[in-house]
Amino acid sequence: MAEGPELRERDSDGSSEELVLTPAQLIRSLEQAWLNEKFAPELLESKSEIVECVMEQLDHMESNLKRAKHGDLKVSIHRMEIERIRYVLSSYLRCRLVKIEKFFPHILEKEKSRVEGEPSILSPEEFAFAKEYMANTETYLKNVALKHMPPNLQKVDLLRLVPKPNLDSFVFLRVQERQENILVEPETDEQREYVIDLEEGSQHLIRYKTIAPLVASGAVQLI
Amino acid sequence: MRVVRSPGPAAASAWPRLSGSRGVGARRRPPAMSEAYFPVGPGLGPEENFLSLEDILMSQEKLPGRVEAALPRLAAVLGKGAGAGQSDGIPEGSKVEIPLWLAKGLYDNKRRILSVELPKIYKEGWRTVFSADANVVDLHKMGPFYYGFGSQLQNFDNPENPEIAQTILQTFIGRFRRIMDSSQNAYNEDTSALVARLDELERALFRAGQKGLNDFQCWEKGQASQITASSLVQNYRKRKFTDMDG
Repeated sequence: MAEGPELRERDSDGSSEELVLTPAQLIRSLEQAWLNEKFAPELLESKSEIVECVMEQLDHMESNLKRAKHGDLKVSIHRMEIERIRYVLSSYLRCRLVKIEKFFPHILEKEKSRVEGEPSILSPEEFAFAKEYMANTETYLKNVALKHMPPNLQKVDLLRLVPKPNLDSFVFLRVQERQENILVEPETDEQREYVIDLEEGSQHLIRYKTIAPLVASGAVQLI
Repeated sequence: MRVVRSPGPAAASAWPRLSGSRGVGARRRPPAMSEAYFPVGPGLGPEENFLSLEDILMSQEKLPGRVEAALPRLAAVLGKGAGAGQSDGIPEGSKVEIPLWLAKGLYDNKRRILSVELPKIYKEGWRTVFSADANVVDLHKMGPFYYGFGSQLQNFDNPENPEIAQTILQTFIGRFRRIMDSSQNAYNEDTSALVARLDELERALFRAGQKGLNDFQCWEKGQASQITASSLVQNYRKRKFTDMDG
């Protein structure tokens, strides 16, 4: 896809620093975000810039195709590529929605206690969705079960009831940038905690909790 | 080299003709990528999930114990009602068999009300059987929630807790290989003989393996890009049909 224009991606707080990405790099970063979201046990940061840029790019490709000659072989190949990119994008968004539905009280709690400068893990639409989902679930539980219970048992604490994401689950990862001094916690009582270095290009199987900040910064890629 | 399929416009028209001839069998398949509804799974380790149906069923299993303090007027509730009247109490020191959820609620660190004993499959004798060969044991008969119940037993103070935890872990490690093998290689056949001796956690694993195998075979045959009715909608339609009939 060398024909599309180069895309500019603005920094999230609107400062004048621009990051110019070719379409190929944009698609690769979408695929990386997609794989990370699929294999991480918790909801990762929302990459709304990538989503918006990809949607712009898809619109541009569609309009190009409309103008093209009918019956040209390239048209069907480009259309196939559009379908593939659209699939990756919708799978990414669907994966995030599944995680929001699964862990909604904890995500809303985290969002509430977020410090101002930190990036949000929810896009504005996802935040509205999560709030509506929580309100609907509470209304449903109240109407179906709680209002028939004795008055002192009518409260339900969703934060305790809904299971938390399991940050101890193991994930496979590939290292993109070399990392030093990662502290690994002991598995059994006989082991002690030890420190490892992650070489670039190596692949590991490790608990998610240990490398969570590295996934957020893009230093490792979940596979 | 295999070409990766994708729903191109030319290809989409060919598939319905091929699969239409398959008949009734084509309808049942769930979508490979995502389900409409995700039930809450069982909890990990000594925690239970409040909203999980498997955990609710598991915590209904009975646990033998001894009552430490006298419980007036509760004989009927705790199952000693046969022969006793409505308002009889349970004297101190008598043995009861109560469900796990009740035991967890009544158990206190100072052990004022209840003291629990281990069911026999977590005791020393059976632990040596498991360590000898875990594959031959019929875990479904031994209480269908061996792993879950054993993890919950860690909540009660018991000097044998570390050994119980080790035994459960080693049993799982010993049996897992066979479950993985059988679930990945039994395609389109009757699996009741394979599943009969597994407990509920292992059955869930087996079903996950079978689902993966079936989805892969569907994808290979090209049936993955067909749109099928969601399982929720199918059930809804079935119920409506019987409403009209009855």
